[in-house]
Amino acid sequence: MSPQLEIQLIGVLVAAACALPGVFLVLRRVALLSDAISHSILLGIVVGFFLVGDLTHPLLVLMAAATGVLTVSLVEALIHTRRVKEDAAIGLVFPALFSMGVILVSRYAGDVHLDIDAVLLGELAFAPFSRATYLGLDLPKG
Amino acid sequence: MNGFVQFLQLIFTDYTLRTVVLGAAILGLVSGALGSFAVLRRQSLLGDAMSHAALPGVVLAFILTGSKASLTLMTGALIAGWIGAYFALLVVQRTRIKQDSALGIVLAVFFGVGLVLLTWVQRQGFANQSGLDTFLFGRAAALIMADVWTMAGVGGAAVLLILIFWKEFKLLTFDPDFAATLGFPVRFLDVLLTTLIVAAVVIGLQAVGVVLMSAMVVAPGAAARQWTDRLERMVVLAALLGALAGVSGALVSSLTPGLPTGPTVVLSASVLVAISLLLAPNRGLIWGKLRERRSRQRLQSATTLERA
Repeated sequence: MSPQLEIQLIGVLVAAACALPGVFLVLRRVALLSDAISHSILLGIVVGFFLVGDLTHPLLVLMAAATGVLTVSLVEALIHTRRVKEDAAIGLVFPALFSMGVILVSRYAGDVHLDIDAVLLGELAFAPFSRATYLGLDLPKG
Repeated sequence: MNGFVQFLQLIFTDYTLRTVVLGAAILGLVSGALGSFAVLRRQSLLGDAMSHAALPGVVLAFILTGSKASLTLMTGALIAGWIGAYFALLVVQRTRIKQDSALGIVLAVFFGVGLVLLTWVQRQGFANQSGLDTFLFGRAAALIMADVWTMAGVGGAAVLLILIFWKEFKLLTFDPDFAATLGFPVRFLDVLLTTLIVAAVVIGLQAVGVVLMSAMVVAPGAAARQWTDRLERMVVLAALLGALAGVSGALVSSLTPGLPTGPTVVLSASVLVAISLLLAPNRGLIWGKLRERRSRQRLQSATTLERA
């Protein structure tokens, strides 16, 4: 299988997997929750990395998922207080979690592993590109 | 105490610190004031969407002019963000798609185009392209006085427009249908207010970056909302809280080595929101719990007396 095909297959799989729960996000009018989750998982990845010290460890994915759940719980809790609306709740939670992630990276991982800083931030913000090529290059290895 | 006085002196004498503190203060002031409207109009995530949508404008401005001057890039960002906001408005008006999904669509499409352009620029080998991507993450410590002046100019103009159109914006925020029946140009006002919010987002991009700019739009407004029910007080309070978050975040990050400014500003804004949610008179969660408890006790004693 050529790398080109692999990248495209990964793209297809990711798109299909995201489209299914996406239906519910759109219907519940919290479409941007996906944006929030994709930012705040940085914190989980960073904490997971500090725990195991290995960027390819499966715990990182688990921690990322846990932070995603935390994001949604916090957003729901904020909405439940009825002091802020849905959109404001989303806009309050994910920047805070993301900021903690960035601060942890630059305080404790910035000097030691500069490349990790690039991987974490780059992969998140440049998701349309880096994820496909990163995984595409990584797949033959694993 | 002596150290504190020295530190205060440093704010006025140290160029970098003074610039960053001033920039953060102006940013908080402007985005707080305009963010209040966004929060009330349930457009909180407009800031998030627009800060992403500004990226293609930034890169295109660089490709066309070859300059990385803050005013050039900001103009590009403003135009792209404005087009994005207008698209979102059209999608909401013309289709059955709701506000949040429309913003999500605009965010993804514009950011995607921006990344394609950015990657292309980086492959072309423009001599001075490095640093364009700092527009994404923000480098508050790299602000220079010229940037602060640009921010003050754009922000000042936005605040002035709010004052001029105060009555209209107030009506638009709380009862757009009533505004329409009175003959106000609702569509124009809607576009104008959205443009101002985009402008507030754009001036902050350089300081705190794409991701964290959304917090500076939402947090001061959401915090101020807890303290008052009047729009005037809310807008002023949001501006002050925004400035407070900006200044305290900038100072804390300058005191601690390795603490990036943008995220610190966002965290101090989040702390302000948490305090407001818990402690604000009337709407504070703690007072709510106390009230609940007291009324339960009163009910209990009342029913006990009835039974007796």
